Amino acid sequence: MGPGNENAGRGEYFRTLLGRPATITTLVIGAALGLVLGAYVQGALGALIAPLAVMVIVVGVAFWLADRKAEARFWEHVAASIGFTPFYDPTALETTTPLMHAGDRRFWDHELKGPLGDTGLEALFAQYRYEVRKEDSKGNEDWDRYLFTVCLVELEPGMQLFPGVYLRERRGLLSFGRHDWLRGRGLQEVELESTQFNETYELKVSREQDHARLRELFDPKTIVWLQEHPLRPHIEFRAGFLVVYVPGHVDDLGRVVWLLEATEKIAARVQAEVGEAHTARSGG
Amino acid sequence: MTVLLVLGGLLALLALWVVITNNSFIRARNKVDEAWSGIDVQLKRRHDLVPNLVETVKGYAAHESATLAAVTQARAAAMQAGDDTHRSQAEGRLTSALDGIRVVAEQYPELRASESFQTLMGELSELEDQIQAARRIFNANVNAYNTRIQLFPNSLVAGAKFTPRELFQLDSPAERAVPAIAF
Repeated sequence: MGPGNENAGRGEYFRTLLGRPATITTLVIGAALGLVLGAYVQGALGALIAPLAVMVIVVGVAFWLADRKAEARFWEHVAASIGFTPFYDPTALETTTPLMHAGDRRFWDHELKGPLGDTGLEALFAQYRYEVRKEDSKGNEDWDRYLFTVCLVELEPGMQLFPGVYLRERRGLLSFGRHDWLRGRGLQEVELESTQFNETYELKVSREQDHARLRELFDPKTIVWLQEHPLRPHIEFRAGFLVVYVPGHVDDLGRVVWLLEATEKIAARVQAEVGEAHTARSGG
Repeated sequence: MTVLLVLGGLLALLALWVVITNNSFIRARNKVDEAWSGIDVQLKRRHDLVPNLVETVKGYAAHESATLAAVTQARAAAMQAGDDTHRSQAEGRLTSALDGIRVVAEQYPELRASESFQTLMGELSELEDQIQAARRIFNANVNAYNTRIQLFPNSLVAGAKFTPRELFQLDSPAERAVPAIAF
């Protein structure tokens, strides 16, 4: 059985690293050098603080290395478990939907790709972060960070039926002042028949969206499924790209699988609608 | 003068609250009606499916006429049912009658193997799932609406204009019956 989350095994790696001769040697030599240099520069106080500082730095580096190793092991395990392979290509995700080119700079981590269940589609999975630049009154630069876990699928046949569909958890008063990547896009909000769904989710569509088709996509089963899904999956569908995402970085296998299953289900719904529209057009 | 202004202000606030509350009731009631039409669409689809299903079964199990007649009658009753209460009872009976077809199919392997029967049963199963989901949405909306109009002081605004709605129960009487266990 592999690690269940990014932190699993970190303590063990950390202890192993600390017990290595190289680490102990670095600690001893570093502390001795710190003692001599500290005493030379600052006297008795320097002789006390410098070795301690060296020890803190060595232990800190060991912890950082253990953390990185545990994280890498976890994502290798995730990839193997879901049948995906790691890849690195930021352009594969950027400029697909508004979320994926939000903010002033964007970063992707743990990018994986592989087959999406029985849909015959290839999915891209990543931990995603976009940042918005801001300046304080003194002109100092700062960045606001927004974290997401995303799963992207290309569904070009659905492009005409769904020119722009954006579903996300309703933003409450607490989101005041937070960056909204959908603002100013001329979208219209749509309410579905479920009061509970409308309280939980905010559904926005582009102006040219056929509302009858939208209601077919969000049929009663799908509405109930979205309401009850433990992850509360969010959706963006634009220009033939479906992005299913959740806020924050998902860092355990169970929720990664849930996100993939949610993506599979939503992609299958879009495919079914495309198939139905095709049948209707061909008079079948 | 000050007292009059204060009273006027309070009255204006009260009027504003009445308008907002009244509008929220209308919105909630409209959502109930919208959810009902969602159920209605799925029920009509089921009504449309029944004749094809009956014809298919008849082709393989002609002498199961009692079961088929029960389904046809239940469908007709469901289509003619007037108010929501009678409708839900009639649809419950149709659900029970359709369960009878499933039982019949168990006795006819050729019917079970028939492609058209499998397709129709698949569609029926999907429709029943959709009906269950639509029913859950409707009942949740009804609960939200009823709670809103019954809570004090909202009930003062609701008066007789906004009356509680009934939940839509589709379970067949057989499903609701407590199974008898003999020891």
